[in-house]
Amino acid sequence: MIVQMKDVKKHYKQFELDCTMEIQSGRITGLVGQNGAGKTTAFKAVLGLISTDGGEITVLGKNPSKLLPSDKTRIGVVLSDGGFNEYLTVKNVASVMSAFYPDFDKMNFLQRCDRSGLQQDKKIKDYSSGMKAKLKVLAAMSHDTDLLVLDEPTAGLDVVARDEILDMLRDYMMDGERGILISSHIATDLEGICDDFYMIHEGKIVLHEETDVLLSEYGVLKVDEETYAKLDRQYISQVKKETFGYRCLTKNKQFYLENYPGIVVENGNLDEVILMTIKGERI
Amino acid sequence: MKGLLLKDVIILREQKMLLVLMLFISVMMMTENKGDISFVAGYVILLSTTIATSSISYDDAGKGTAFLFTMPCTRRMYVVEKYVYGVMLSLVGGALVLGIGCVASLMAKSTIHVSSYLATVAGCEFIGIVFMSVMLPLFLKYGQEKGRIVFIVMFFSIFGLLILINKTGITKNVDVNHFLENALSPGISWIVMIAVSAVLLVVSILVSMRVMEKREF
Repeated sequence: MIVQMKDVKKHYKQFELDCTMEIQSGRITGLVGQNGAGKTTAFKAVLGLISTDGGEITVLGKNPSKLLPSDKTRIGVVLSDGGFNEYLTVKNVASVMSAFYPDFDKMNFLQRCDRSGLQQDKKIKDYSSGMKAKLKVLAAMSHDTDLLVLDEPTAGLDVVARDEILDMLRDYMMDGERGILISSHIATDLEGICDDFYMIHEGKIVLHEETDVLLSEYGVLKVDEETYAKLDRQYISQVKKETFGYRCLTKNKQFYLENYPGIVVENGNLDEVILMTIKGERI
Repeated sequence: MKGLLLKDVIILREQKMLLVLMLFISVMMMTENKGDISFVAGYVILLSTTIATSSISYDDAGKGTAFLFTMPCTRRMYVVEKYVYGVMLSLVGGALVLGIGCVASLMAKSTIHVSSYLATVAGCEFIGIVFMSVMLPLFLKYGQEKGRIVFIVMFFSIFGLLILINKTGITKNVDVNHFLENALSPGISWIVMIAVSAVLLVVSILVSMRVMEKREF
């Protein structure tokens, strides 16, 4: 296990984190949730940027506060709201990274930046938000790591750039022993890349599922009032009232496809699961 | 720490106008004063330590400090680097002043009093270290803007207290200047200055480390 969070608690005035989560080596784990749900707080706890009020966290076998600089060379990070000083250029970033990371490949990094359209002599503050996002990801992947912690790495990127980044992440995982913890608002990105995901809502983990299971077995039923009254609800987990009747989340869509051939059953996807888990009523 | 120092030195170029102006004023004043470096030494060294302390606000901009701590950088390393950077800049500033002072004296065909210049620069370095030892923990805890306000409040509080003490008449027969000029020989003065600087730096570093260890991002 590369990262383990067990009953990790953090109290703020109007928010409390209570989180249990694991990232296994060889897997990409997603963390999804609304804005303000606690994703960034969970990431900051993993990275040792905040203290915790309870629970245990281990990263690469150690408490984050005990990680040595040599341990941190094995971790690549993208933060949603922080990065290199914006008065630096790409060339400056390369020089600074060389000083921090013994295995940093400066030439390779600069070539990748060139291919991504990042001008080497331009200050980061003059880049577009998409270019800043690309630079953060390229820097995080530019040295040999065992773990990537990526908080909204594709925010601000166009579809082509996002696809490039996701391909890079897939290549990164070819090693087999590495792990990625990633958060994103773009559910399709996570569906395409994550092996499993956790959903966080109001500071608590409300769902943990394998992506394969989500895409193959989850479904959303759209039924009218009459049909809903007669429906076998043993496999319905969440229900939401709609103008047409009810929207129901099921973890066993096959049951309804076989037994209720007339009803509308849509394939499950991450966006629907998030929407139903937050806005729906638990049965 | 190499990476942190490199970052700060690169960002120094954002202050190149200030540095050029500082150099220009130094050269003009020393040439005008026929190599007298007393005012310029204080000005340059204090400005150097100000540049070092303001690097904290450059790091904090855009939540860059949080990102630094996700890299192979500990909070203690970050603190020590700020002091190393500050001492480095003030020594470079002092060396520049010495060099320009000697050149200005030569040009003015005045006698170069090296030992007097060294004593002046050393005195200013000591003041620079006192300034940095007070400012760095304040900036790390409160940020640059609030840190300056806290420093001003502290300074005037101490100043006010000294005036009050003076008004009580306790210090009527105390002549501080006489004491400073006669109590210590030049050799002992150097040793005392270096010892007090070292103690101040160590205490300041320990306070700063404690501040950074408690800080959350």
